[in-house]
Amino acid sequence: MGELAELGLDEEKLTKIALESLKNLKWIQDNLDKLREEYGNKYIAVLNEEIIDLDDRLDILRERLKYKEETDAVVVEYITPNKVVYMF
Amino acid sequence: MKCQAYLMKTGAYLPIYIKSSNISLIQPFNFLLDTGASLSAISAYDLGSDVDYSIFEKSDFNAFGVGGSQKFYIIRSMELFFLNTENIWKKGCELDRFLILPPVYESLTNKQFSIPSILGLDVIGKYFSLYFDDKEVYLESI
Repeated sequence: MGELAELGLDEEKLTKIALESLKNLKWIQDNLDKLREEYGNKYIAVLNEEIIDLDDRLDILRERLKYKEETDAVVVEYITPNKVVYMF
Repeated sequence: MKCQAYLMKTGAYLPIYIKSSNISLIQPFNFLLDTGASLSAISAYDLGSDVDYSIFEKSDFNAFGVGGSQKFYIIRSMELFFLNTENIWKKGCELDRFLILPPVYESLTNKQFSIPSILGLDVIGKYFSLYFDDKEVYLESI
């Protein structure tokens, strides 16, 4: 048993969320060029490596996702219309 | 403790669950390992729009990055829990302060960029050693 379980948290669920959201993030990054062609300038919500919803507005998309089941591992990303390099 | 990061096109990511007395989060977030960042920070994009920022302290220093410098919100007394290679959550470190990266907007469309949360040198190198090759990235407790 891990230390989050000792705090009363559901570790199994948190692990599943963590691993699935990583998978979804990787899927977005691997398919970014294709996604940009179709969904450029939109926010997409990805679960199980599939787009489950999208919108022009982040707040509206997030609000809709609240009412869907099992969306903890959803990754919501803004698909930029052009390639962007993040520099930190 | 040994934790495997997940290599993606934009870098290596690690799931971390953060706990603090003034914020309760229901899920872990994916942190980008960033050895160029002095301090770790959680992205306002990850925190979402339902967060009441008035509960957070404003930094008494400016943080400087690409794009300029500005004040940040701070979360105090953070505990960071890491998923180890056996898929068990363990506390990796405690930080006195944790920055919140403010939202970043595209200038033309005013759309919020999905900026990742970052794990910087206040954790990497201090509490964990970083090991990597072209296929795998690990953090291991010091």
